[in-house]
Amino acid sequence: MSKANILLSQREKANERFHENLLDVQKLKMHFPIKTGILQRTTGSVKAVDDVSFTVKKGETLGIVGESGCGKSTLGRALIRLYEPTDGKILFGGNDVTKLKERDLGPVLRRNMQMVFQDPNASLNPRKSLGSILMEPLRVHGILNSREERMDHIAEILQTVGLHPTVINNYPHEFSGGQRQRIGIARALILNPELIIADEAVSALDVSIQAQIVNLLEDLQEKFNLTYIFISHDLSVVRHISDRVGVMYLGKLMELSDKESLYDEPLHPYTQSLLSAVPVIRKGGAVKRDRIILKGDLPSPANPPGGCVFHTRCPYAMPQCGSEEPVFREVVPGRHVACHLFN
Amino acid sequence: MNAVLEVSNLKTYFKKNKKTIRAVDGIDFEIGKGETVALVGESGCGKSMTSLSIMGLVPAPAGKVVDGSIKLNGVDLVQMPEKKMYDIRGKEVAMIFQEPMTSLNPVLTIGDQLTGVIMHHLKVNKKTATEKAAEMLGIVGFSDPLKTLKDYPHRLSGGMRQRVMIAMAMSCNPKLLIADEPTTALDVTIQAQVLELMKDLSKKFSTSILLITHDLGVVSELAERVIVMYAGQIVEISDVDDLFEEPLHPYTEGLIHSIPAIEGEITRLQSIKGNVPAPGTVLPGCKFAPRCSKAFARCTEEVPGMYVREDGRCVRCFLYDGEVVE
Repeated sequence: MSKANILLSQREKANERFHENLLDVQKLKMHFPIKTGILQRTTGSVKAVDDVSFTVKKGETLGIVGESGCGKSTLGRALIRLYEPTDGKILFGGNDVTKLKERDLGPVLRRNMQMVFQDPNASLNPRKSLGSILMEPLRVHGILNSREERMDHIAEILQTVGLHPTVINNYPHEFSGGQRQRIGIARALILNPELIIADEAVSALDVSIQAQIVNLLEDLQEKFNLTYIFISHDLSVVRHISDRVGVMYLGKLMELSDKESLYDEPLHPYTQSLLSAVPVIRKGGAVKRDRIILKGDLPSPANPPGGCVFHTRCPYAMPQCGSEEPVFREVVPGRHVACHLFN
Repeated sequence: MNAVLEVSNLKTYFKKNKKTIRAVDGIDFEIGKGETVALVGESGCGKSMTSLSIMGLVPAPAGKVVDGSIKLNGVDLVQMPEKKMYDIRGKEVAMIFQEPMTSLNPVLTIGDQLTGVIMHHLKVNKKTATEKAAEMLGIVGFSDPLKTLKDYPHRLSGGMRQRVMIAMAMSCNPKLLIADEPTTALDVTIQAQVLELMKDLSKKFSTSILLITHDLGVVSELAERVIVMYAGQIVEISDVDDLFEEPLHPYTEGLIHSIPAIEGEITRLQSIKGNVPAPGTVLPGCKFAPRCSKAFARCTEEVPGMYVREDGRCVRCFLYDGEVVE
């Protein structure tokens, strides 16, 4: 029995006490203070994530899409407690991890929740060899006892992500972008986590390499029964990889549905315009879809519009939308929308 | 068709550690008047170096156009002395870049930057130049151009900065606009706005556009013809509809199938195995052979030439041997 398999079976035992929902996020808020003047008085706040609730089931992939500044990356970082959430609750495997102390973060949270970042150049230490990059998490979490065992485990993980174990002494600059992203994935995988948060994990890659990494993520999910939160601005990739998709705008979830309904019949006006804006390859005179071009730019998250945050750009805005904030609720079984049109 | 730009046998090489890197390795293409041609390929394929060669902006002394010609309306830009290129750049050929923040000067107002270009090329005074600048900002969709002229770049959003870049590029009515990944840094809803704008402007001013991008969706929206580059060479030239309907080169096919679709059935992505060859790699045969699923013995021994098919499509692949050879 290989080491990965031993780790896996240990985890399966631990899972028995887990709830069906691996992650339960309740009214999560992540506000950043704006400080001005010599006294650095707090004069306002950027509501990067504002009142976001969702659950992630074990083994599924939840896609989070949105444009830059919508708070999708902040959401990912707050979930893994790289930020201290302002308010709300994060239940991970039944444990409340929102207020965990720093020293408990490792064993309870980080051991089981890992992150893959967008830019593998920036997220890998250029002065460390691949071997020591992958050794560090094992050392920090005290997994496996001897150096030999750890090295064997590293070699195995490297093969799993499609890298040859002979490269173990190479430095990050000796790898191509796609290979570096494989290292990033190997680093996330080496602790055998439950949940991987992939923040724009394939966005910096060329399409042919992107396809390799997307396929790799899918294979790994099947092999290790992983759960993913896949954060991306690329609607096509999210559609490909996710089971359910959440759409964010100015710190709020606008719509959360299973993938098929969301892409075939988007309910929220923002989702509709977002989907219609994606340039599509048209084959053989396929009919061009009607494009809803949104006016203007994203409002500043420091000063979001009152009422529904989307009402300033919404083609269907009603008087009510400017004054009253729509509730994010289930309008059809399995489909959550925050819009007055569905009241 | 009257070609605005004719590139023939262009070779741009780099010297690095006494090794020669063939960034652009003998490419031929032309762009007709008012035509939008997309140059597609992955990073390192030489697409950006092609555009810099046309602009005469290849980083010297490491890089150099070593062979070939770039004719703009019949005038060869390769032989052009640097001083004369000042008058060509911005007037005859203009360029917009991927990241509008780094291509605008942060300490000058939008107005200063726009009028500077207009005054230099159109030889007009400040007042006329300001009027022209305001007119251009109006055309690219600013609601209050006079106010925007006094703004600094950091006050504008990414989409607005790209509009300023487009206004600047179009202000002297260039014959050719080179757009290097113009919407890559923008959000999809803003990208949709900018693509619409570029479509309108190219029609309005009948400017030819060389669109450099890796996003095949954008290509499908904007371009009429597509040039596919791989490792410094052109591997396929086709009309946009033909290319997506029936890609000829195995690389083009792999590229198209690597992209997940936004609609229709979801199947496993067909990736292209391996990586783009490191710059400077010399292969005896076809450069794509090591990654090609259809490669046979000849591919690793001989360099394929460009085959021109009866329907006018060009492809560099032995699979099409037996059809007309150029």
